[in-house]
Amino acid sequence: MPENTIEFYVSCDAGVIANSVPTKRLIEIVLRAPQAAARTSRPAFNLALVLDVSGSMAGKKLAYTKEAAAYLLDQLRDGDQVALVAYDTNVQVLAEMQSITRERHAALRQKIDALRAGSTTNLSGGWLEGCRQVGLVQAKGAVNRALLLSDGLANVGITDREELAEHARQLSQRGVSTSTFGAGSDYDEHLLEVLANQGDGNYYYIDHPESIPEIFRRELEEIAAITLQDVVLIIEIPAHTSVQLPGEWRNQMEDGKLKVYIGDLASAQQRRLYLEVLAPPSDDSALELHLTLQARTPEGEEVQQKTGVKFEYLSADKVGNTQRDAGVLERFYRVSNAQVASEALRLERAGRRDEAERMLDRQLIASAPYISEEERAQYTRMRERVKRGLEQAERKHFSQDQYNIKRSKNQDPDA
Amino acid sequence: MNKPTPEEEGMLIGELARRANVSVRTIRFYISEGLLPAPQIRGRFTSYDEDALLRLQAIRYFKEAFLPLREIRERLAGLTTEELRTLLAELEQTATKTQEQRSSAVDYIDHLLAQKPAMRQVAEPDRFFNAQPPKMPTLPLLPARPPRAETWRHFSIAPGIVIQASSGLDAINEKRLEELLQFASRIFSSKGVRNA
Repeated sequence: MPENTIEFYVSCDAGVIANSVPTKRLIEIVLRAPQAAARTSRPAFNLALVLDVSGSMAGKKLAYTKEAAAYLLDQLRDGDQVALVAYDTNVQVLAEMQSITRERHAALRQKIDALRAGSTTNLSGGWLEGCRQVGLVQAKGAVNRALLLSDGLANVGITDREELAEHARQLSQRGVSTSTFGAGSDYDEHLLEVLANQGDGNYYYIDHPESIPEIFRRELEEIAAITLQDVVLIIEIPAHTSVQLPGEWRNQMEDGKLKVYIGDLASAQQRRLYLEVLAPPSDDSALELHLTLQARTPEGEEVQQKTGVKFEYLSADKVGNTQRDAGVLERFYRVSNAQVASEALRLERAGRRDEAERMLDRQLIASAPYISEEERAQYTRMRERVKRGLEQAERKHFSQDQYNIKRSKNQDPDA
Repeated sequence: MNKPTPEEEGMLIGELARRANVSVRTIRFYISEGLLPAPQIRGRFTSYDEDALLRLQAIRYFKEAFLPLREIRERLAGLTTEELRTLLAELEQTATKTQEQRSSAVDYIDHLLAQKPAMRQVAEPDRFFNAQPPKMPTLPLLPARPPRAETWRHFSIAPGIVIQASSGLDAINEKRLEELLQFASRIFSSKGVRNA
């Protein structure tokens, strides 16, 4: 397959379903963005940099954040626009959304250098202001995104995780995405992750202040290499069939169609999604699922590809004796385990350790036959740790691992 | 063989999800959070009625109005199906109005900030000044048990017969419960177990 085309294909654990009882089947969906030709152009950036300057940022964290912000300024080109927002208790717009000239660049550098750590964390106020700045200039084909850095718990403004997630969803639906950067060990990893998941962006855990510039560089490199934007997967669900989609993708059910929003994909970036399908019994000969991939290239070209899966109806006995694809099962359970582990970590964080442990236990039993020895050992260890209660940094590490698995961010290419 | 349609039997979870435009996962989440009552068990399957659909539609409006889950739970608690219908009609009216007001990202945020003017204001410094969350003492011997309501599931087996079970059963008892429910519904159903 030529490297500059989109890959979009599906496979399943078995191609047969029972005609007398409901059958559970797994579908693996693989999509890969085209490889960028060596090119000098990239999508324009409309970025709002939203920086936490609460009291706890004082010292190294703030110093490295300034370095990261200066790096970001240096990466901007003609046609890019940037806004700077700093928040503690109050939200300060240091610079309205603007394109960058040499004089403005110097003026912005001064404002960044002058940042001082203040009081509390009005995360929602800062973030929404950043999104608003992006919204003022958002354009099709550009990367319209707020980059939100925080090191603490949102304790002023809107602080409810569910509510903020809903705003992120509404804003990405309206073309403004959000990537989040959690620095240190005192922020709420689930809040920053859900903002990025519903905000069609990326979530990063930064364990050492020294890494702040490096992580911002990764985000900028990724958005500079975008070859496919606003990727949407549309799955037509047949009547009486139910599906589940682990991975916490922004999605929407509409007229029997499940729309899954994948966001933007960088050159050759791959995403694997899994559908757990409960197929109804039927006298028909087959059950078909149709999948459509919709996206746009940064050049404005609309892309659409279709594929499908066909399950053949057989007697329950025959279906029961069918060999299932061990690879699909293992990869599905990797994501499904990560999803359950994320939920367990949320419970653990809320002090509901018993429930978290039980949840992990059930999932371990269910997935044990299909996963590797190593993965089993990892989750067994997590269950033991969850039972006793986790340290803050441990929570961040565990959640980041699950996030990467759920969103297929760290896969070996030939998995 | 004449199989009853899900409509006649109440909706299966997939059907409910499709009609309410939410995912199956979301429905399970709402049940576990007490926003939706637990489903009826019919034969081997759980089934949902119109009341569940109305509740899901109402939840959607409340979420779009940025209500946190706990407040949604309070607003929906104890409403009859008839009261839900009235509530939905009201919600539909206000939603159409607000939807028009926030078509772009900027409109959306402006609308939100107008609703929550406190967002940009200074908080009471004495309450919030300490940006670091307080360090919680770790007591390894005592499992943390924050006060919270326990969730119980009600399974109506037949008119006047209800089985109750906690939501926090372990895998073994969950399996036993499933068997019990199947057995119970077989006894009380004159038609025997259905395969839907």
